[in-house]
Amino acid sequence: MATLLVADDLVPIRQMVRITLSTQGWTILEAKNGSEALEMAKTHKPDLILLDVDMGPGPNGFEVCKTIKSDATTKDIPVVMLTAHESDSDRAIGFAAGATQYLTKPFGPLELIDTIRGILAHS
Amino acid sequence: MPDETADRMTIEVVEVSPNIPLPSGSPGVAGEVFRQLLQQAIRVADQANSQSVRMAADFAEVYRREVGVRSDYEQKLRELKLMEQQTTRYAEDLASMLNSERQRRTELERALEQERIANEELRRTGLQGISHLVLAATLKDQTTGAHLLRVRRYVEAIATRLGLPAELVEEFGYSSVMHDVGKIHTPDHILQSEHHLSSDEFEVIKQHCIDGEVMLGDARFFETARAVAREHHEKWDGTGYPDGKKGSEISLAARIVSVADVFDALTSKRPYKDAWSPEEGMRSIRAGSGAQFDPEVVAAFESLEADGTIGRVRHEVEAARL
Repeated sequence: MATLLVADDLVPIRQMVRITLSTQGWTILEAKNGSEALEMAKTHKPDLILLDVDMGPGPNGFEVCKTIKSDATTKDIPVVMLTAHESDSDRAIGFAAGATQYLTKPFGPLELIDTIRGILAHS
Repeated sequence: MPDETADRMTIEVVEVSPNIPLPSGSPGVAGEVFRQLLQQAIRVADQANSQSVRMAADFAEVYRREVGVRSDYEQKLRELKLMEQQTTRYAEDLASMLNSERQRRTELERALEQERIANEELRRTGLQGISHLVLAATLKDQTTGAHLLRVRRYVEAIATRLGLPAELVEEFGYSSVMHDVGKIHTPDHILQSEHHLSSDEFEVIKQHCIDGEVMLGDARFFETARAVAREHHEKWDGTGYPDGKKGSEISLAARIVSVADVFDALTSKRPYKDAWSPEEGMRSIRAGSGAQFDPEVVAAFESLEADGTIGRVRHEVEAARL
């Protein structure tokens, strides 16, 4: 079963994501900011990473994504941005940073599950 | 904090008296007084100035905090709004999931109902096939048809008396009708022989149990019928045929059919014998309890004989033939 890392500064969002994704039998790790996300990505090597953009102090989601993609040990982990930033320019920044998918909040549980399933099936 | 601010904003008042006497006759003295007054005025102005700088700084600090609080507040508001949207989105998704779940369940129930109808149809076809079989037997030999009907009724009565559920009673009943289907292969001269059978002929007779089981194929519907066809000549003590099974190795349905079949054979006329009275038949069955027959089945059969059920079946079948 897959292990997923979700990084978001908001506890209720992390809870929603965790509850939603654990219905699929996946194990969910949680990071509450960008630095934690980077650290956990390196130590746990999850099968997929979900990144919020604004996570308080420290690197934002785009920066975290860029760092993950530039590290040889983590660059193959697919990253999904999960953010309230919904403009096209933000999307462009996300994809430029190396994100595989870009989901905006509020997200639907089915949409989230389907997106992740699709990515996991391909990798 | 308000106290502290109030404290800082307190202005130190410097007293300047308007009635300072001017020393007379000496411009030097007057000059000195003027100088002191001036210095005092400068000091007062200085203090007032630093006080306003201090106050401005304090105001700036208060303003900075205020802005911070407001942006914290705005941040919290944004989070709340996001969570509200997020919750709504989840509720919508949940509602649509429940909806499609309900539709799926309805479809599933419909499919189940169709399957139930198909099963019922299949069962009816099976039962119809069986009654055709009895009809065919009746056409060839009316005695055989009546025999099968009575055996079936006895079997159902015994199974009911033993407390079996209605479905099993029905299954045992329709299965009993086919106990001798294997005899289709048995030559007529052996079946209708009025003499004691030779051991070769007896081997041929035994074969009808095995043939019957094979003829009934492998459908679940005929599972009990196959067991009955194979085992209805087995005996409780293990001396029967074709396998010499004993006790509960023999299926319950076959143990019941055995009693019903023998009783009806004894009380019916055959080419080689007259019909025995029900009392004589019953006595023979009782004598076989524990040897040829399952004692519990015999006990149930005896109680059916005692309460007149057996007699009623005999009369009803007889009446139906006429």
